[in-house]
Amino acid sequence: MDVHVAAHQHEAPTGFVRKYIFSMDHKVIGIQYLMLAMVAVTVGMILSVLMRLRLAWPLEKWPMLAHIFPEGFAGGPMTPEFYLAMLTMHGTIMVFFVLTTAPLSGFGNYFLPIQVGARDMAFPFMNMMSFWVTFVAFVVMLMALFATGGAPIAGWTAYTPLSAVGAIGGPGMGAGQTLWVISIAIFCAGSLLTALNFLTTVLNLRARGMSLMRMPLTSWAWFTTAILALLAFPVLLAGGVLLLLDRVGGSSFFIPAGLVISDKHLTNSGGSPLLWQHLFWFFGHPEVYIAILPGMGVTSHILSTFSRKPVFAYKAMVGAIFAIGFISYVVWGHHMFMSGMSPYTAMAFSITTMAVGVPSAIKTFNWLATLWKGQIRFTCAMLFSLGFVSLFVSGGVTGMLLAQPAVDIFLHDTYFVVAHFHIIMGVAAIFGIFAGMYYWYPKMFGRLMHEGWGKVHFWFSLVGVYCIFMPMHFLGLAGHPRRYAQLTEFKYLLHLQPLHLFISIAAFITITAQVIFFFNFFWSLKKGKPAGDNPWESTSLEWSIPSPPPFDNFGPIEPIVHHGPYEYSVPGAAKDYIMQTDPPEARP
Amino acid sequence: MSVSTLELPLGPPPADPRVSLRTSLLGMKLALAAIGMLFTAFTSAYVVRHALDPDWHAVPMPRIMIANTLALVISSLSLEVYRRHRQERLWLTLSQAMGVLFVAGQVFAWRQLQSRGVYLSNNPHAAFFYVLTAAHGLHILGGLFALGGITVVAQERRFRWLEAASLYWHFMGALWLYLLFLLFGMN
Amino acid sequence: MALLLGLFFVAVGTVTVGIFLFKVWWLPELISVHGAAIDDQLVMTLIIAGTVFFLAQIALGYFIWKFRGQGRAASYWHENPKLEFTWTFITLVIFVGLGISGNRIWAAYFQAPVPADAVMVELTAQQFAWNFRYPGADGVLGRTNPALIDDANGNYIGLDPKDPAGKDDVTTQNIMAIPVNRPIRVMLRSKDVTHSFFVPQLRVKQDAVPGLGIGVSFTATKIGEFEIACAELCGMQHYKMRGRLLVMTQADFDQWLKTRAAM
Ligand code: HEM
Ligand SMILES: [Cu+2]
Ligand SMILES: [Cu+2]
Repeated sequence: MDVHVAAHQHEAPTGFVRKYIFSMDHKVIGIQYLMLAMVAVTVGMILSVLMRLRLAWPLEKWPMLAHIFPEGFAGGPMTPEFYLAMLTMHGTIMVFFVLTTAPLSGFGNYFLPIQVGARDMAFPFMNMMSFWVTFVAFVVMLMALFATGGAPIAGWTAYTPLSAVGAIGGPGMGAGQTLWVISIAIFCAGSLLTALNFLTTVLNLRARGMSLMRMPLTSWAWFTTAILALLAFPVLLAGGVLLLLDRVGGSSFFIPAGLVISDKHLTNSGGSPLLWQHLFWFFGHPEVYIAILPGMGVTSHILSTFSRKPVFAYKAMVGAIFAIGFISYVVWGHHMFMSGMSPYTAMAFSITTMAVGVPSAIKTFNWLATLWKGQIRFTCAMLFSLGFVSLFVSGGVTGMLLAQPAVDIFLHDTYFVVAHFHIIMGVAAIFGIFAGMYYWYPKMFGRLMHEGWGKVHFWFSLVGVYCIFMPMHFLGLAGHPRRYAQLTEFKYLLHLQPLHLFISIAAFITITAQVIFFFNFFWSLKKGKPAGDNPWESTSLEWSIPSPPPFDNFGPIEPIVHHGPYEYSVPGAAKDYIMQTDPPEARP
Repeated sequence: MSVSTLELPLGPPPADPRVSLRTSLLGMKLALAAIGMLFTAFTSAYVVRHALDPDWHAVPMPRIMIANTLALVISSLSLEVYRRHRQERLWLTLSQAMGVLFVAGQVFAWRQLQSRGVYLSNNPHAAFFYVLTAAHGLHILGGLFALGGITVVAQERRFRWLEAASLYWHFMGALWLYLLFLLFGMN
Repeated sequence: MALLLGLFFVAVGTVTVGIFLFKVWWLPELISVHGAAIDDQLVMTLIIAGTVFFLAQIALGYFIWKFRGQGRAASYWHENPKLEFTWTFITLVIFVGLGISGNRIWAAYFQAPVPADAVMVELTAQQFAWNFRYPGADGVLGRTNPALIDDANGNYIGLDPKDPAGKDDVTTQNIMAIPVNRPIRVMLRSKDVTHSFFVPQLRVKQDAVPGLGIGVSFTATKIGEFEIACAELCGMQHYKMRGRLLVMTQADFDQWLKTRAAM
């Protein structure tokens, strides 16, 4: 059997291009995805700084910025269309190029094959393609950002008909919006290739002894996420194709009859704006779980590792991941309570949405129970995971309000929603990424990140995000609609300006503090403490091989799995952890 | 007893990605699930749009599409014959030829409609006709590439390639029949 | 570290709940009949959510401090079916209960029959203005046709001059007057992109979708001037798509209509 495998082992490529650029090694591809996400998150954060500038000081002139963006600051202060362009690109880049790439394609690519004991993904060539397709999508998205006529202003949801009518819809709705749609369509294709690979790898390439119920929860999360991606992205792709045709082909899938925009009469007829919303959110809701599920997996894994205890209720955790994944396909209508959709349909969606709260709550209880009677080690990875739990609760409970159509009448499309989704989808997922980064960095690069700087980074981030996003709930409760370039046009909002100022200042500090992370990341590549194979005394397969792992992960040894993924503090065992590959006798 | 202590039998050795038929077929099935989802989304758009529109004019089916359908069916069948008795290269060639014929026929059908003045922007049925047949056509081109690959790829990959390509090709045939029904069977 | 982090989570829980409790920032005043039920539901849910939030943050904080590593062995405790069943059951009851009670209020809101004496107002949204129309003395709105829309000449909604029923229609832009304590029925349309009619004090929000006509009903209970905001991104001036809502006595309203009709 060993002979058989050895005969077919991949040979490591030698040239620079094949090794680092067009690499088919899942580990290199994983790092490429992480790099892409780091570039993307930097862009996304800079855009949010620009937004926050305008929200804090709506009519302030910024000569320096006017220099860089002459059109965006035509006449002195930032123009409202520039604000909306920043908003659209920020949301799009964050959701697609950060929260889909880093947790799923980045860490997943690197660690899923290793954790299940495979030497590579099932289809390495396709894996390489998936990254480069995604990369092209990102380049096209950047082209949209710098398109003539400006970047699109229709938000990351690109509601039709605004996004379908072309340049008369407003600045940025010409070339910018077209490039946006094209980029999204390309992105869909790339993500599908990734999903396909993940699923096949888990189903077919697991090592001996690695039964499904011995997979770490991280792998379960990536697996479930891949199912979501496989079935959700085609729907967005279909919507994107139809939207593109409406824009450039003169069709009317989403444009109804008799529209008059800026006194110009359109000739389209019969299209349905709600159709786009349905297609978009059928994808969109699973998408938010695509963003958060890997973070849940990482958190479970890390909480267990650093409280030196098995994950509480492993089976329930797996069940909950699956339940969330499954139910997330039937809740999309909660984004459309006020859209003119049938109010009876709204009732059904309200119930399904409440239902998805149950497995989410179960996960939270299980995390708390995992800590119970543990021996917590406060590494940076652990700190970010604890932060994740706190944020997941904070963002989750507001879902109870938004899931009720009656209450949503007031809260829909206000800052309350912005607070809700930033905390639960945005920041919680980002905390999951940070936790994963501090945890796996030593495996990927052979050196530890600096824990001291990591802790400084953690405290700035944790305090910072609460200061940024908690106050947004109050803006929302006061009825502040989202996607407003400023609030000064409305008397009932004027008293909220100090909150905006506070949020902006918190945002500037928090975002600046991320420099610490980037510094730590690059500094530790050269100067970090050497990690050894298993610095955290973890159990899963990636910790049984060298750091960084050799080309085919396991070298000449064939990994054989004898234990479950979370055997910490087993009574009577020699050490307080039993690795999955330890011999059966390790367990008394 | 906890899950982790269950002594599970050590399963079969993990399949090597490069040799496993199972892996190829699974990958293909998953790809088909995604493609199925794409066309499901188009279908739901079609149904919604159809129900909404007072000026939905059904475009009559270009005659040549009957021949195209026939070509695709023959292509699928002959590929199946080849898959079962792999000696007869002729069957494969026939399958490939019929596939090419299908594409040519579809291009002709498009041309014909355009010469009759039926465009994407005319009416929603025409728009869906173009979208669905084009999306299917692109997948068919991919399929032709796969059929072409059967005799080109390295010997040890050939069998898997053939099996996966056949699965794909039959799916495309079935999808075509479904699209015909959707576009013309319900008016 | 453990103490600090533990305290931080406790603080997050306490401060947030505190700000809510003291209503430092709160809902705008309520001026509609149906809004009372919505507010009650919102507050009730907020209390439940707040309790869960508070308890979870406190528990997290406490556990972090309590189980900070002290060099002892951790417990191998990782299962307790009874406990798991209990909390699953409790959350299920809370969530489904909330869902059902919320749905009842929602149903009461949208199923309420429109009384025959309701004031009819048609609202056509456009980038970036609200066009209102009242049927006038005959109680019938005149025909409109999008083809006749001509912003340059003030025909914002495509009124058909040939229809006699439209002669006495009263149209206004960005000003909506309604009588107090009388049911109002607004028929929402849009002539370009999707907008959303949002009057915070009324607890009313509804998208105006091109191609659809969507009705909303409410009864205002307080005289005064309020603001109409747009709550769906509709283009660059979304943030200043502002309308004025004037709630007045019936007599004032009749007078207002008359003066408007004469204009
Ligand atoms: C410190 C970090 C961040 C700050 C200061 C920030 C700030 C903002 C602001 C000011 C808005 C516009 C709100 C409005 O006008 O309605 C916004 C929208 C948005 N943000 Fe963030 N954000 C941050 C991080 C993130 C992250 C990590 C994500 C990832 C999910 C994210 C996703 C979004 C999305 C999807 C939107 C909505 C865009 C739209 O309305 O189309 N943000 N953000
Ligand atoms: Cu959702
Ligand atoms: Cu608007």
